[in-house]
Amino acid sequence: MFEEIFSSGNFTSLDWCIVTVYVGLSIVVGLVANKLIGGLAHYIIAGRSLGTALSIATMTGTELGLVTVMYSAQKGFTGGFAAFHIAVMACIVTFFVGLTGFIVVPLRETGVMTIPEYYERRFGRRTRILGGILLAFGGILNMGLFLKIGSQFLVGATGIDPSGGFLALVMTVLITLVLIYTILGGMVSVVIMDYIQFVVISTGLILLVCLISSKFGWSHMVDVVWQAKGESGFDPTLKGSGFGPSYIAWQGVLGLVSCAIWPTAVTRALAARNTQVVRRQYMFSSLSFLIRFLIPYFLGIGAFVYVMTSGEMFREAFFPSDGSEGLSNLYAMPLFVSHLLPTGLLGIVTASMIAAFMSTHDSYLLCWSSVITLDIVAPLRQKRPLTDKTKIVITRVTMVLIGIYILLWGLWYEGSDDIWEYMGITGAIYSTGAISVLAFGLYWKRASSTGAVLALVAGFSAILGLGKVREALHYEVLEKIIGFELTAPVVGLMALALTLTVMVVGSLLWPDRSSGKIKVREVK
Amino acid sequence: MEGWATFWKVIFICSVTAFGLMAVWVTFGGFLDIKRMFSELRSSASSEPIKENEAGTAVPATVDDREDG
Repeated sequence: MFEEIFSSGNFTSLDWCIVTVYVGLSIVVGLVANKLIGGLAHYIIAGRSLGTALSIATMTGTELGLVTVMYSAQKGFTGGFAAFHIAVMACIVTFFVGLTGFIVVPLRETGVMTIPEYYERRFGRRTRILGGILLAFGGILNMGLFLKIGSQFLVGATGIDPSGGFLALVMTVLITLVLIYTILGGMVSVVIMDYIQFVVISTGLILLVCLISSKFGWSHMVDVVWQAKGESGFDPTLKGSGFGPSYIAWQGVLGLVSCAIWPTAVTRALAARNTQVVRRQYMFSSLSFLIRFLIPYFLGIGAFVYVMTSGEMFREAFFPSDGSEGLSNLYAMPLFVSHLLPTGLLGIVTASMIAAFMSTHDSYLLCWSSVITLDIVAPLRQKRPLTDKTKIVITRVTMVLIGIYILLWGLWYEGSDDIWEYMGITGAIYSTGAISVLAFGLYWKRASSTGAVLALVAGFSAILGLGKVREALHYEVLEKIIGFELTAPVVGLMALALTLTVMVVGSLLWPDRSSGKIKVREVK
Repeated sequence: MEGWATFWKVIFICSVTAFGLMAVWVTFGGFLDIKRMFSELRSSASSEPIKENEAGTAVPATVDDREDG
């Protein structure tokens, strides 16, 4: 029955042609950008030449990835309209960061190229290396499912047989193309591709919204969600909605992490022309951060309505009446899109999704390989510093190695169904410590290197929120004692509280003998 | 339920409309920014390269804090 569903979509040879032309464009961009690379700063941060519009395009192009669309659509499918609160929280927090310049403006003023570089200049080399290791570890782990999720989209949208070798070939070709243009042109390639992808993605998403709205109508969608989920499908404060107050609070933290702590977003701030551009970039990008969740949630809700109302085949596939395990709900949105759109239009939208896939991969590949090169390898070679040329070579080699890892991991890994929780926790391994180190480092004179190291190590405790760890450690026993559930958001919030505490206590108990090389910016 | 449904509808319509307008602006503004970026990269690639500090870190050149046009 599943084969019939996958092969019944509208994807044809015309759509493959459209997708191929777009993907081929990426090689041309890489070759052009390669000629403009004049040194390390050009390669890593495009020579700090990004204006406001381009900054917004590249931030959106990176953050509005296929993975985001897929797991957000999954959230919309399972949570209904209540999931919209996640998007609203992300928007509010990003706008607040832009308005106040919290973290991003003082960080930009320091002139650093990466966050771990800031750690060294403020707290010393030990902190930089530890921060770099945790960052690279959490980030690469976080990235491990990207290819898997991307392949599920392709299977759903195009009807490729997931068990055949063709899917593996397509994924290999895609990741190879991303590696080629990113290795050749670094951040310049990334920025140009992100811009193109922004134009294509935003057009594709708005088109989908219009089509879904005209097909179903808002009122009908509300009625179907109400019948299936009741109040839980609308009110995120209800525990039965799968969200609840602690979940909402955790979304606020993730919103801050996504825009001001997560390196791929912060790199855009560090690459901006000046601090005024940074503020504007964030205030305008708050809308992008809202949309990057909101529209995919809407797609997921549309997919849910389609599954519930289009006939027995789809409903049985996702919600089998005999209680057996149905099709993964990650397939719902791409299958819906492949049945909704006519050929040609489907090719354009699929190209936009592949664009989203590539734009995320290029930024993350460059980011993590830069961290390994600049923040782990280079500081360890302090006595015999690496030249710019050597650093670029190491960055490129590391990119290839990471690319091979995610290809192997992605094609064979059997992932958990709730991708957003996995992403939140793997990100939190690094970010809960980083929030404390950055915030206190930038705004508190007495923050010390010992406090920073303790905070980074404490942030690793967020790994206790992973589903596999929960099962292995039998949390249900502890939960009975303490009287509340240790969900991933609760563990994440506890990890954050721990890092804030040890940062303060560690700094007070073990102050630095001399101040850091960077003067602390005073809070006004 | 009515209250929440209406709230989400307003949020959704306003957001998508604003995003559409921003997308148009970013499309044209981004194109101009790319042209400027190319020009700046070409001119800085032919000037003195970035120096490294004692820690082996590439130290960026002083940023010109001019107004962004």
